[in-house]
Amino acid sequence: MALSSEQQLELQTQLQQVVVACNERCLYFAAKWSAELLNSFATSEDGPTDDGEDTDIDDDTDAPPHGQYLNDDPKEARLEARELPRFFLAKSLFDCREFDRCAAVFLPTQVPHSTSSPQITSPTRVPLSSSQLKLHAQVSSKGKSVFGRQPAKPKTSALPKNLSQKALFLALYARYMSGEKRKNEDSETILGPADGPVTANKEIPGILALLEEYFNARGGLQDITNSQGWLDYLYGIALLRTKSDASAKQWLLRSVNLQPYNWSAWLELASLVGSPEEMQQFSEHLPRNIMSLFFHIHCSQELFQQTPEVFNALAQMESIFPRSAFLQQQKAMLHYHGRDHESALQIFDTLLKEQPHRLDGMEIFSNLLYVLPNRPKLATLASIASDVDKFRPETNCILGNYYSLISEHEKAVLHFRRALTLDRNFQAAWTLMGHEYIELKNTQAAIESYRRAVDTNRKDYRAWYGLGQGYEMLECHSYSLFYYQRAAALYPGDPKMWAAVGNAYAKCNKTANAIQAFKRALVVGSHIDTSSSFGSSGGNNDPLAHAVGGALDPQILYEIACLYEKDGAWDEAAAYMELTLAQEEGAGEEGVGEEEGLGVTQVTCRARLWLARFCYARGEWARTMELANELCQDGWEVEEAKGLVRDVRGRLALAEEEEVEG
Amino acid sequence: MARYLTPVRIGILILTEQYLSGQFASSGQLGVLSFIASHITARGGSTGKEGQDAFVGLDANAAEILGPLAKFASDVPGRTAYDALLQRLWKLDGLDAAYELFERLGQVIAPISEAEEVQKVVSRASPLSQSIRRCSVEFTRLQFADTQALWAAFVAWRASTYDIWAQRNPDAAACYAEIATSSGDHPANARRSMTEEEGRYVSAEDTNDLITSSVHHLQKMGTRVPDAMRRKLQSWIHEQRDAGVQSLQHFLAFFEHWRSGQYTMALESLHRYFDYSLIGKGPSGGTENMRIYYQYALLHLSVLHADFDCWEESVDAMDECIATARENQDTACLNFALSWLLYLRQAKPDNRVSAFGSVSGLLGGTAGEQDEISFLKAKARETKHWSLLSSTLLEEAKLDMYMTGSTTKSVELIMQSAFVNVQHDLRTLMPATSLFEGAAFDRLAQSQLAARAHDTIQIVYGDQAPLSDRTRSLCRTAYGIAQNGRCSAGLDMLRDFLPCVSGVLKLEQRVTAFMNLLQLMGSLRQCVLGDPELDFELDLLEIELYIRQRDLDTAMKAVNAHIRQTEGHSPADIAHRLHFLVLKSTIFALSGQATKGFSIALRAASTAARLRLLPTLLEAIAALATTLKDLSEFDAARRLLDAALPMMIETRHCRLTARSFVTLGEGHVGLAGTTCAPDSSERLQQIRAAEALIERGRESYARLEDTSGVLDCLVMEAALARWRGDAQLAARADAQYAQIPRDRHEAAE
Repeated sequence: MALSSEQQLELQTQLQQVVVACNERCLYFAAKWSAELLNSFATSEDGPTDDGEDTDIDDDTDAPPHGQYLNDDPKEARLEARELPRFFLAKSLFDCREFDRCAAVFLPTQVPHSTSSPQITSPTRVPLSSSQLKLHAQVSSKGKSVFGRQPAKPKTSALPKNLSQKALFLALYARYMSGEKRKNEDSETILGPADGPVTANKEIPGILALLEEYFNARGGLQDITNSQGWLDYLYGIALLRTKSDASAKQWLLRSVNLQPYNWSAWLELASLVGSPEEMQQFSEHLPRNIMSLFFHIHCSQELFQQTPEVFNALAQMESIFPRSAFLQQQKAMLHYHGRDHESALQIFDTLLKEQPHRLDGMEIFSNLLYVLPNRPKLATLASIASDVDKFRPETNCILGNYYSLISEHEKAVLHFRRALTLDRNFQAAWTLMGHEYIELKNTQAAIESYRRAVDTNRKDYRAWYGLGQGYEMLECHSYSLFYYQRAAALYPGDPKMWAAVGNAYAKCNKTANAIQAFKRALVVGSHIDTSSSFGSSGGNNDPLAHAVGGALDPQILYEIACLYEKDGAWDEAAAYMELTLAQEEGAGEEGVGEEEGLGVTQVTCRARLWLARFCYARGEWARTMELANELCQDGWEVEEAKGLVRDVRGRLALAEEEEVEG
Repeated sequence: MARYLTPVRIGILILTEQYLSGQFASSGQLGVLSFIASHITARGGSTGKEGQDAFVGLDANAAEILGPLAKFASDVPGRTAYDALLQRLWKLDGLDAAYELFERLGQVIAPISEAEEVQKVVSRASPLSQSIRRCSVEFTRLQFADTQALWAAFVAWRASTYDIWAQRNPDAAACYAEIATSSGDHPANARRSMTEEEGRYVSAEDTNDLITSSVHHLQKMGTRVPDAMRRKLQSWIHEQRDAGVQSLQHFLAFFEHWRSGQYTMALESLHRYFDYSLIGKGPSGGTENMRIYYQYALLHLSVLHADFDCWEESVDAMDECIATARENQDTACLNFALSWLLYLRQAKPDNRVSAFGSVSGLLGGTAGEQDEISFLKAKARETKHWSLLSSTLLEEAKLDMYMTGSTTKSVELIMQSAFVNVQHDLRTLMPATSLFEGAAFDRLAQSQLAARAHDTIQIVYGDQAPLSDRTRSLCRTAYGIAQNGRCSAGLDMLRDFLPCVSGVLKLEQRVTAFMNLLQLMGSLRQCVLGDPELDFELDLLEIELYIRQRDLDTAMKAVNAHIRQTEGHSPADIAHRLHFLVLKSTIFALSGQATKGFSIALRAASTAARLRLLPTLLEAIAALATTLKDLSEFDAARRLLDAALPMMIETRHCRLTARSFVTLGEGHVGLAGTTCAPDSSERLQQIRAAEALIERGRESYARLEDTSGVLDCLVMEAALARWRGDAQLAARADAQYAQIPRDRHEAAE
């Protein structure tokens, strides 16, 4: 899907305009994203010969053919021109993080934070960390607000007449940020009593009331003729904070239709997508442009859809934006979720090399390095991040991961806490901190951390899994089963999830379900092509011919066997035990290229012992001898095995004697 | 910044690990172990030469420090222990490797519960284990960024061994180079390596030790820190964030300022040191620390005051010091303070009253000096404070010499002191004792022996003697040599010594003064006496010196003697006689007996006028005008000088002109005060004229580089300006006044 040069130029112009527009409205994160995109076109286009042409095009667009961002609406333009001095003041105040004062420039009738909230906090002068400014855009903090109810309507119309949309947006957005700041200050320490949903953004009801009034006056949701899309976005996020997901979705959709280049709006929308099916529904209402493709890719990544279609879409986008770090990052994350660690590692490596000062998404890289595990690389990444900025949540996550990998869990927790102090909505840190608390055997804290992670992002299967783990440690098995199921549903591609579900079922004495879950884990985790071995067996005589040599997880096989044993299905159990044993050796006859087996492990030895006993019980002396001798050789459970050998020998000798006598 | 860990220590840790895993040939093991031991043993107190040796390796790179290992063999034939170590050193390929190293080291040490003795495990109490554990604990406590810095420093440190290692391990080196080029282009790395270039990595503890040792050295020797070393120290201190180090830095600065004669800066630094020490030391709170440090701060303060001749303040500070020390029952400090008080009183007997008060209060009853000395001696013996005993003995010897004059007794006391010094290895006190010995021998006319005593200081104690003692002895020696008739030899000696005392203002001044003295001695001897011209000039200089010293009696006597001398002899130059007469009248004027001087000056003037001795006449007129001015005959003085000034300027006799301008100015002031109506424009005019004249006088004085004259003029100008209400001008004059001593000071530096 390569673009013609005109299309590309048009795109560039639009991106330029949107960067300016976002900056005017202090949507810094969206501006950064667009600017990044603007700079990721193919470099060859930037030849010196094109410069003249570029300026020509710029001249053209000054008399705008695509004047969506310029004011084709003369009324708005007039209003903006009139309030320009005040707008400059408000913008500067916002940039200095004096949010209340900024809001008061355009909404002067407002008594400071006169919300419907009974509790009025005093204004403080603590400056806000820079990461705070983008939090609303990066990840939505759903469920943080207790304001489920709509606030009482203001008695008098607080909305001044004759205010341009830009000014109103800035003022309301400043109020929103002021509320966020105050919320952050009131939350106090991480995991403290005031942290969490108890403390909410107290400005939101006021903003909602104002916007509702505003939009009602302009013809409500349906009338999209005289809106620029920014206020809709603000309304959307305010609704989102009050948990009005359905209406939030509508307003956000309206916003992206009116203003497709506001990436923050897309991200908020993405946080509302809970499943691939929902995404399908969404796509009908989306505008047909390049941004919806980005949205599609992002959502697929979030939903762990490593389908070829997504990769195709990615490749298409890459042909337009070959230098986009965002796309690279999405691709790497897709690979990572698809457990294609090598490719992910490579992409992250090049990304880091090309943009060494860009820390966005690097915490995912550190997760990957943790999983691999690759200590030296993680240490290098940590030092690079620490050099770039010691006080970024990403950096602290990377450091935390490193400390976790070298088993310094206290330090890891410290760094995760620091990351969260810098940005409470940094979801990755919540999950990782939960992992650390699990390691430190602080189950309560772990569960709370995971809970917060899940509240921030309901699609994080690791947090769900962690919750399950936590409850498992507390021996609340039905709870842990519930959470494991959520995790497995979110991320069905990981055998660990299914194994956990199976375990939990087993603990709840639901053997049949447990066996099902374990088998699912086997299927997902098998290194062999499922269609040939478990599906239609095709020309192959033995459906299990490939299921040897470590192709299947012996642990799971053993678990299944044990469950069957518990159920009294001896034959099944024995078969699975045999299968477990089979993982030791490669399938010899398949050829030299076949991979080696896993060799002797504890699990296979246990399986062998079980089989030996099983054969013994069935009186298959020769097999028993063979297995027991193998056990002796491997040095596992030697005493037990020797006992068996002695016993069998005795019996054989007795049988011989009897034979002789008889 | 690490408190303890440095790249060197990491290197030693790696070596230790290698040693423990038995990678060295049995023949080399002992050597390696002793090498390790020499690096991990704690530095024994930073006294004497050993303390300084310990810092030798601080600034060295890996090749210099680890080089000696090449003597020992490793278990691989043909490879030395050095090669083996380098191999291991370069195997650390990243930050993570450092973490791994410390993880491994943690396993080397035997666990706390020693169930069974395991081979190859270091027991917890062994020095090796202590050093490993200390490093490990520190490493665990490091913040990530600090670890990074440490690692970068380590990489920089080992870089010096790259060539040798690469030569022996070409494959590994190629591999390393490849990694380095692929990862080295990260901008963060580049930035880091740039900052690394500037200074080597020094741990807080080393810096602390180093500064403590420097302070100790300064305190003991009274020298100054060389420039190069100061720069290095500054760069290291700059990197430290430890409050203790920061405060020590101020202490260092205190000594620096003190030696360079910057009294106010020294005072400031001392206070700063005290303030920061309170902050820095321990979390237990300042008050407790304050009590411990306060007396020592006071002690230093007192010594500082004394050194800058602020006796009152010095005694006050010392009194408070004694009180605090008694309160805290710090006998060492108390005794030291008492001995200082004794010294103070002798140095400045005027303060007898205040000094007596405190000491007698301490001792109970009105004690004489002898009693105090015996008290101090007893105390010193009691507390085994030998340096105090030794110095008290010297003090007693001095008193004996001063008061009773029994030199034999003094010599006996000095010998006792020397015995104490020798017995208890008080090296720093020995030079002082030798000085006293020399002085005593001098009194006994045993100049040869005295010279020996002085030589002892130079030859035997050399570097370890305090600089002031050395200077003193050297000056005496040089003087002795000059007295021996070898003036130039003495001069050369002093001149050679001058660089050693550069920067220490007082000593520098002393050496320069001695040089001038010797030069004078030499030139006096060399010149053919009896040259009347020279005699006259010399006599004039002598009288001027007396006048400058305000020793008017002596000056008058000298003048009278010269006048008498010239009277009798017919060939005496009448001009000389007249000159002396003028001088006589000047002295009268200076002593406030202007009337007595009037007739003399008048006579001299008339005679000079008669004889057409114009220079003398002008001098006489100037003197006459001064006298007239003193007699409030302002108008007469003014008219006289108005007439004479053009001629005076013609003579180019600067001092005369300057003095006349000033006198004329004073005359105008007098006129303004006596003849003019108050608030009249006439009066203002007179004052303006006076100001202009005094300004001209000041210029002349400035040309003469006569500081006291300039200062006088400035005072007058300021007063006049203030009278006129011109605050700006007055302030300027004041500022200039303040500036001049400072300039002189800097010039002296």
